[in-house]
Amino acid sequence: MEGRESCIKFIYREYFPMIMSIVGNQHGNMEDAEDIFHDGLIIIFNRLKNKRFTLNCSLKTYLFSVCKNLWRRRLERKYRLLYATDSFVHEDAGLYHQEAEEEEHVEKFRLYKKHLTEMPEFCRVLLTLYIRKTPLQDIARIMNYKDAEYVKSRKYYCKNLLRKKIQSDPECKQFMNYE
Amino acid sequence: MNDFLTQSHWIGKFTDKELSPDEEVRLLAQASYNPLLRNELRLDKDINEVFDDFELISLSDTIRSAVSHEKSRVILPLYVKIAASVVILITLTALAGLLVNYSKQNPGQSFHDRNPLLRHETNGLFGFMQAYHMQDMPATPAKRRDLALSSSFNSYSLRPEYEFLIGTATRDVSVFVISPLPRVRCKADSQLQFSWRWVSEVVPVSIEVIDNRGRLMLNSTQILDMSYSLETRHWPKGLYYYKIITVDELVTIGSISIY
Repeated sequence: MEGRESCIKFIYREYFPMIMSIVGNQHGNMEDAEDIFHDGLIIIFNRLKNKRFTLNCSLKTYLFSVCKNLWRRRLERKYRLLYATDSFVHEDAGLYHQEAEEEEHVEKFRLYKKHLTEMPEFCRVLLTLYIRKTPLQDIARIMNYKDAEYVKSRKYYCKNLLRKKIQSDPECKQFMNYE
Repeated sequence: MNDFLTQSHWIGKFTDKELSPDEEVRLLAQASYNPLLRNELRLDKDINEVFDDFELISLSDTIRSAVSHEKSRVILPLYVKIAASVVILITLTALAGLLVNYSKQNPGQSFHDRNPLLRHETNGLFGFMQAYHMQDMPATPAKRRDLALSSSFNSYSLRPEYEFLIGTATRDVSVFVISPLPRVRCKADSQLQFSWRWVSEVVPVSIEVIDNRGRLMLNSTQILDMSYSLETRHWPKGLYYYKIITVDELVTIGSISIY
């Protein structure tokens, strides 16, 4: 874990200015650049987990490409504009959609996680333990609740709260192509 | 939409498959004609799917923590680093000089007396560098010589520029000196007799006496007698040089040592 953090710090020090320039040149700010950096790293991490994936260029080039596409697609979604394809957008439509889906998933994850972080403390702790798949008995012991049933009840309450927060966020609405 | 369904735990229980068959049928029946309830059910499932990979959450936390840590690091511009280095270097040099100076002081003195920073006559932090003040810098050879002499100078110290002339006499002078001898010693509170003869015509004689620091002690001019008595009563002990001069000639130089 320590190694992973120092590795991320190194990547941030070396490559973040590059990402900042991509985002800054296209109407983005520091926060946007940090989000793109976050999402870009998670996408690369997910792709690296795939055994068939091979990195044919330097990490810097790859991160640049991923972040550039991320930011372009984010702008597309934000302004609902159709951009002409260029060298940064893959000609292969199937691959393009596959990557777009992957990026959307990561962005959705980041936004949902942001709302989870902003929840009341007991909800945050409870849902984090639940996501970690901690047994309900252990959660009851850690949270000092009387039994597992009460933990379930609190968990449903917290998930309701989280759903409401997500539904009220305009940024999240773009992912909810529901009825 | 049925507010009871959204407020209650049915949606969560449905996702977790914890509803009884009867409850599930009822909920699905509601959902079949209620699009908002269907959306709620989809979102709940979506949340479960997004947070399914705990490793991703851990990675996300690590990225956020690393970024905030790196952001909090203050990166100083290069010129500030250089300026800070210079200031530190000067401070360390000054402190090192202070320590060297401190160790050379008389150990019998109090710390206050020995510490140049605490003495009133010192000049701030660089007070210990008194020998190197600009006004005291030996800029000329004469000043360097004076500085060298001042370190071990006493009242009997020789003046080289006079010493090498003692005993010499200018040729073809109009005055012949009988006494004193070129190097004469006399007691304090005594008299020293000067006497001379004119070779041809009478010319006025002057006697000049200086001490070994170059200060003029006597300048007696226009003496038309053949002798002169020098009173050394109030003169401090030490080395003096006399010059016997006619109108335009230095006749002789000698030294007087008063003990």
